[in-house]
Amino acid sequence: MKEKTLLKIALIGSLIGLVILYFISAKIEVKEYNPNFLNENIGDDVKLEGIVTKITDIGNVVFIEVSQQNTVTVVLFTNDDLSLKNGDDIEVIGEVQEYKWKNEVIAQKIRVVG
Amino acid sequence: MFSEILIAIFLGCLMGVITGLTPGLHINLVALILLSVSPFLLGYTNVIVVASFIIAMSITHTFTDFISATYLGAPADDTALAVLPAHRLLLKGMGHEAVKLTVIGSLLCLILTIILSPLLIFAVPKIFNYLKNYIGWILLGIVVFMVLREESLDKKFWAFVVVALSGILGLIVLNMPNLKDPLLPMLSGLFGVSVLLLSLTQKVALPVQRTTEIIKVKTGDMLKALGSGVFSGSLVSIFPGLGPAQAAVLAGQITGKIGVFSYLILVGGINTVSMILSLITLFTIEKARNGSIIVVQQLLQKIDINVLISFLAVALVAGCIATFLALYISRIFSAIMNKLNYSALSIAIIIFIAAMVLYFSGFTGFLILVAATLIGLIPNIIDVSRSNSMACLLVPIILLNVL
Repeated sequence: MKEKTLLKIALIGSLIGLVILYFISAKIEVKEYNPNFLNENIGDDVKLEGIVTKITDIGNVVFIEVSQQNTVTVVLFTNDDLSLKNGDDIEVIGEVQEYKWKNEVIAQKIRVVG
Repeated sequence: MFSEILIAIFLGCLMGVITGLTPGLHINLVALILLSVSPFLLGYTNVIVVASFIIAMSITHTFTDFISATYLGAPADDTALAVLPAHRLLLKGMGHEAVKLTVIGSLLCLILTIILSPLLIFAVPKIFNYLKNYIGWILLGIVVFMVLREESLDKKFWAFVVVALSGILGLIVLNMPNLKDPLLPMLSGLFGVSVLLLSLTQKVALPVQRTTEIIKVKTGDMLKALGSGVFSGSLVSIFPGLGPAQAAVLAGQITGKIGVFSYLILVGGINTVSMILSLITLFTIEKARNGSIIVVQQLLQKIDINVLISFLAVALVAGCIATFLALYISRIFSAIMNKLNYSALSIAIIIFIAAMVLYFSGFTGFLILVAATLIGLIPNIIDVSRSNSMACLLVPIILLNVL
């Protein structure tokens, strides 16, 4: 097979692929990445979304109970005042850690999404 | 969403070029890196876009990894069996043609698999149920056949020695706890460093590389190669533990003597097919048999038919872009090879592989590399087929399935 023929096939193939992709991408429902938190390993980075059900601020450390499939404790080390309140829909990016035989997420980034 | 996916495909293709060209870098290692950066990427975009990035990168990787296998003689498991025929062509000044043959295999098998996907969606679970009890015995038969097909009794004996040593090495290495990326030192030793050391001692002079179009493959042979590429690539994605390398051995036996050129087309196709089929098995039996598709599974859990079609389209676009990239880069490599001192390059690659092994698999990995290299030297000294060393991957799977 000549290289030119191969490149022609590649060109036609990519055009067909792009047309299919254009039409099908409008039909895709995007699911939220919502891993079953309890199955994550210690040290894994996770991203989760849930509703704030309880906030405990003890100075430099804030404990946030986030409800999703199961309730997860999110720990945030901060000196700033938090503008979070119960019922906020938040997105947390952080690392899974074990504390007293229970998994919790040490938050690196928290964002209110709704 | 469409434009985001396009950007993801483009970036994925670029990353695939980098990972494919890095000597000895296995796609599963790349998948592990991806898994760790996924939460970071998800901070900026959604799961479909990240998954598209991973698929585009993995598909491109299956096109470009033959470039380093051909020009640098550095294999991963999917390219290990291509190293020798491709290297032989390189020593005739036809490195670019060797890469072109693997690209033909990758692209045409990719298109064929996508066209056949409606059929495969139904056939895959049926084939899986039918063959799952026999796969160990089939592979055992192949190993016995590999030994017996050597010409003289003396060579049969040595082929058996190579199978036994490689098999024992594979059993030890794959069962070693806490060893990261065990395939890297083992396969680099058996198929990479040993070949490079031999060409160093034999003072191989590399002829001028030409970007010719001399090689012609008969249409019948090409169809045979593509057909068995799709078939054996499908097996990889259906059976746990069966990798592209075992599938290549299997396909080589099924098709019989198809010649070096068709064989390169076949080996080129297998890993691309297995990547596509993994997407299909993720949809049909909710099982991912491939490192990077496992990452996709972790991100999405289950996929519906619309997502499957969009992923197949992503793979098609990425594969077509990868065709242009692979041929272009191969031409650059061809030109560079003409200016390089091949012995110095071989030494540099050996040092690079050793450094990669030390970094990823530690000192234990380095010891495995040395042992594997010594075993890898035997086939050349005795003049038996190097594919006997594939026993390092076949024996552990045979024992797992037969015992």
